[in-house]
Amino acid sequence: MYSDSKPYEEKALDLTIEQFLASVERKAFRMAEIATKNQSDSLDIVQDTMIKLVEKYAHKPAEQWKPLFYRILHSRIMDYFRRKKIQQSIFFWKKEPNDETDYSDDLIDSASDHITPEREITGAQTIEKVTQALKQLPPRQQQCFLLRSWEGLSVIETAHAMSCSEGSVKTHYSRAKQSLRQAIDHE
Amino acid sequence: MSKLEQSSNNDEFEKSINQALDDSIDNLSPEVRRSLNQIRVNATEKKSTRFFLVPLASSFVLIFAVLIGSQQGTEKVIIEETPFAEVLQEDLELIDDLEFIYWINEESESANL
Repeated sequence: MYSDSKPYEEKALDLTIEQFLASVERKAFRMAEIATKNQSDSLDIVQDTMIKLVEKYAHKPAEQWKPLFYRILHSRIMDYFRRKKIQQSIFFWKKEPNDETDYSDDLIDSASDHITPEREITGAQTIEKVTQALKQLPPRQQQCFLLRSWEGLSVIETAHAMSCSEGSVKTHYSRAKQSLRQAIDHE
Repeated sequence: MSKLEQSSNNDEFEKSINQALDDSIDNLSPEVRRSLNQIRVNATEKKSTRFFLVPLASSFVLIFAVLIGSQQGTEKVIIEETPFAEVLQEDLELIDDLEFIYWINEESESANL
């Protein structure tokens, strides 16, 4: 599933941390942006992830950077949802101006397998429509699909990145695919 | 639809989604690209700055220690060069005793006269 034929482990041997970050930064940004639906928050998340990786794990072998990077990224995205939830419970009378989705429901719970029928996809396989379809998925399904399918992590690596069991990865992945297909077939 | 057809469709479907996602990152705005570049440079510079600061801080501490040490040495030399240096280091009682002896001596000399 990697774009090159050369496996990541082989390429990783002659990679500096900066080269590695350059190779994953755009995907990481897009993943964060699909989850948060906000550019500046996504940039903050990517920044925190990079700093943490460089500070704590730069000394680790290069082949371990990718799973570690995505683990940190996933953890930062979940932290973002937790912060949002706390903010919303404190400032309950305020409504986020740029929120596409109503996050008044429990955000962490919504990160489970629940898919509301009103979430709709408009369009075929254009960039905008695919990203919109992904944005409609619950965060854990999004993350699972993006890590597993787009980034090409194995089930074990995805489970490690998402701090969940391999069984959950399989479930989230399968449901994400099903939801995406349904959303696109609706058009 | 057979299982094989379905899985082939699934693969095509995933491929098309992944392709769209790849295109989406190729089409990121220059502003976002610049920000990402800056974030990366900052993150990696932080590390190199941190590693640069450790020897710098150690050398500062070493220089400071040497300066303090040499200053203490200078003070010692000054004390040693002062007249009556030994007297300065004695107890005040000894000075009183010396004054008393001196006074006794003077008294006895004046009595002899």
